[in-house]
Amino acid sequence: MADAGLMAEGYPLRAVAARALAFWLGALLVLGAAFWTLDRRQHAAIQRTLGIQQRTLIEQASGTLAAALQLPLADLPYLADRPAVHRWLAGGETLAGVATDLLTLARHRPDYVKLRLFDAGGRELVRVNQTPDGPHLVPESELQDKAERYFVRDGLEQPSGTIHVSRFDLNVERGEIERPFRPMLRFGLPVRAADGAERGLITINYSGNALLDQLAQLAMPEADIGVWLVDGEGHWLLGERPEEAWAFEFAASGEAARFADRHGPAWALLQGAGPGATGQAEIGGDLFAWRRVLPAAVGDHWRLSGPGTKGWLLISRTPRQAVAAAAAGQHLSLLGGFAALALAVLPGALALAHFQIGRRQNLNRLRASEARFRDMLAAAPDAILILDEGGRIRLSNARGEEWFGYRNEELVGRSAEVLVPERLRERYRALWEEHCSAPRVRLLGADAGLAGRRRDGSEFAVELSLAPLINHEGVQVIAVVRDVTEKHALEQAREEAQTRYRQLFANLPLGVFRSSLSERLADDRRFLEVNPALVALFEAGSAERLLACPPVQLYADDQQRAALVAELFALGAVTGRELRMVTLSGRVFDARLSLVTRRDDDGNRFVDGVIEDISARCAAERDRDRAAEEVRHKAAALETANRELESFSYSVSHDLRAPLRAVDGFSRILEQGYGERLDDSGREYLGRVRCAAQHMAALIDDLLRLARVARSELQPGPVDLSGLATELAATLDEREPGRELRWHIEPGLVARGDARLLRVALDNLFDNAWKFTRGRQPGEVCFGSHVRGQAMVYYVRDNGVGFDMAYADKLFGAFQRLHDPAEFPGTGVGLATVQRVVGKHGGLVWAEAEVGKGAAFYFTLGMQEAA
Amino acid sequence: MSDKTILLVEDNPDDRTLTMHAFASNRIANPVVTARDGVEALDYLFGTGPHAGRDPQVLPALVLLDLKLPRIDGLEVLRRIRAHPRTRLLPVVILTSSNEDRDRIEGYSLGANSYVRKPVDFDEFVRAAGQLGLYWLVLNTPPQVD
Repeated sequence: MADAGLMAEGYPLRAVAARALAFWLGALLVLGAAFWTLDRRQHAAIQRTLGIQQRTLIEQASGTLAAALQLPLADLPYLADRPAVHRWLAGGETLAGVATDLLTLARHRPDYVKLRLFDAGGRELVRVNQTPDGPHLVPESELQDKAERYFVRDGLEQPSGTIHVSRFDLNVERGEIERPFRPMLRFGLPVRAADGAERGLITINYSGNALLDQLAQLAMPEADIGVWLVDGEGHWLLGERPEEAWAFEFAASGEAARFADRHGPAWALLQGAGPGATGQAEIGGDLFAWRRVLPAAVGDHWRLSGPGTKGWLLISRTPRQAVAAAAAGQHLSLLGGFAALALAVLPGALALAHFQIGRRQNLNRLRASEARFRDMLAAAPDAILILDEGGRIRLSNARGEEWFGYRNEELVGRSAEVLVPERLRERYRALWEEHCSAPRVRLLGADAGLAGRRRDGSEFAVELSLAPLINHEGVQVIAVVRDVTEKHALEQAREEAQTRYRQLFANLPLGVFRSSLSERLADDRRFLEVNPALVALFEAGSAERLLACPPVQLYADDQQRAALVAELFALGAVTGRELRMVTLSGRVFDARLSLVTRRDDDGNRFVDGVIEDISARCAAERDRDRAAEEVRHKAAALETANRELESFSYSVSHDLRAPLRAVDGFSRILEQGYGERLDDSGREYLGRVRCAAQHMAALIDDLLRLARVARSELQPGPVDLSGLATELAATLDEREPGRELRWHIEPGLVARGDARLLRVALDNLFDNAWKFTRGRQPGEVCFGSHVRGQAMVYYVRDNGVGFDMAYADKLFGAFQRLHDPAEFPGTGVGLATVQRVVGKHGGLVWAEAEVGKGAAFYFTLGMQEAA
Repeated sequence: MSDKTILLVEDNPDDRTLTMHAFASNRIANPVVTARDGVEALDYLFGTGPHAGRDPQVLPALVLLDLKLPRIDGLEVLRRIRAHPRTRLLPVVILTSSNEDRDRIEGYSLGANSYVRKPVDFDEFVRAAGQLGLYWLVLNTPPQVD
């Protein structure tokens, strides 16, 4: 698991390496300490071994030295006790016996270089010299006085029974140190007569060369263990440096190199060593072993004196370097072992670091995961509850608090049942038990009819998903609650919309389709969907049959189709294209197409389109076009006619009147200038000529007016009829001021119409009323209105002569007159004009009258409505 | 008032006679120059054509202008009179049989000083002629034109 985790996030090489290094260094420290201890012990063991060697060496050397010292100390008493010496002491005897004794001894003791007997005054009496050819008795003549020599003097001063031991020093011949050096030990024993008188001194000169060689040979140069000999003052006799040996003989006292000069601490230690004492010590890494050797008298009654009694020190030393060299191999093997072990623990350190870092990462990951989990809970758009095994709420996120109206601490510990409406609780329990018996992820969608219950008791539709959550706290359940109120509404709206669109598609009276659009092969194109109107349009009988038919077969004209497809590919859409199509049963019809290309999610092109059968419309359009053409023709003809009429009217107005004016004018001139030449009849005829001319002028004017009314365009607007009537009445009153005529004009009559034409109409009606009330005392004319049905009816009523309703049908014809022109002159065009005006307004005009009682003219204006 | 010339533009000889008669009946004795069509009228006014040599500075006191004329009609004559600086203020009265609104409106908009329809009734005509003479020849004071 740790490995998988480590791999998953990239291996933390640096952390692991650092950790491993720390572990390894720790291990090295421990190992180092162990090996160091081991090394120290090994070192000590080596030192011990060396020490034993040194001690053994010192034992041997001191044995050799002691043995060498013991010989003269035993030989001197022997010589002194010889009969020859006794006899010489007794006085009578010659010295020959003594000489023989000395010679004999000398022959057995090659190291005794001089054997001598001195008299009490220090003069040689007998002297035997050791020569390469053996002992040689020096002739009496060559004997010398040696009284000045320190060992003679000191020896003679000894008490009886005391052997004098000299220093170990170099032999001096005739006042000079003999070369090569001859180290020498001198022993002297005074001899006395029986009465105690002093008689002489026996001496032995012992050569130390052999002894020193023996000692030197004990040294073990291979182990660098040396054997040194120093005297009681520390002067070198046999040492590490040959040139220093015997140096004290030449230098002034205290100036010669001593042992203490180079080995001070060792010397301090050696000072304390008593006679015969041995010791060992490690000083500054060097190993020292030593023994102080003293000459010991043989037998109990001999005493020793002289400088030699201080004895000599035998010292063995193994220098530090030698110890180290001895331990070097040990070091190397230990170092090798250490290195091997250090390498061996490295993988262990790596492994340990790897696992430790891994564990720490796992822990961090776990913490991060927990933090993410908490964030996720907080940010989730759903209410999320964590329930324990008993169905009690352990945790709710903010959404849960918000939706259900509880605070988290109110929810925790309570059964989740409080969030379920009471009517659903049985179901919830069953669901819960089912989930607990087989925990797995369950999703209960909106169709499960679940609902949540808010604190206030209200409900809302939910989706619920349950998932087991297994952790250290045991098996818990995550319940995710989603408020699907809006989703419900949306789905419902979507379904309704879909239904609506389906119905629209099915019910549209237009043919609607979707077809595939292969760019290469026209024959590959197929209908994908068609609506019932399209099936009917192509007389396919069933949608399946139409779907099976390639659209390419439905075009009547292949060129039209090719142009359409080319445009569709070029522009992506074609709108309102009209072309000929053919049904499955072969009928050709006019169609109107609108197409648009689209791509589906896979990039395939398809076409959505609408097809409409416009055959009927096309036919209608053709009819309409024909009709419009006719209308245009007629309008042009009418225009021409109108122009001609206008021109005609103008000519009439202008040219017809001129002759009439001439007729009237010249008649008048005749009447005035030549009247007295005519009789009464002639003058009356002239009057008739003038009347006829003026009547004809009136007729022309009325006809022109009628024509103008007929051809004039209606220009509608509000017309103040009451004001117009009042104005016309005033004009008529002025025409014949003496007439008693009463006008009754209803005020406030306003109509919508053409003011100019309405003035003409009203003028004619008023003029008639004025004319036909002549002779009435008083005449009365009423202008008013009343409502009949939806229409406003206006009227002009008078109390004039009236007319017979039997002729009412002729009333509005042009040139129709119902009265005698002599009594009521007129042209018979006025009412015809009125009818034109009213007709132009879309209204009606009619009359009611009774002969002798008056007449009433009614009219409506079609565009009016009763107020 | 008698030295003020009247230019009567009228193609109809009956109307010319009647007009003269009407002037006479009203004792209008001013010299009357008649032109039978628009061309003659303009020649007279601008001293051109048959009237070359006539001093065009001498203008009639009043022009009585019929509309329906041969060659150049009355409205065109009026337009040219009004277009010329010397004659633009000349009193012109349209005297015509036409009762068409169209003619009346165009006549006034071209600058006619008055529009009189010739009545068929000669008595009325005489009355109208008298009123015209009285107004334009006696009462009216024409502007001085250089």
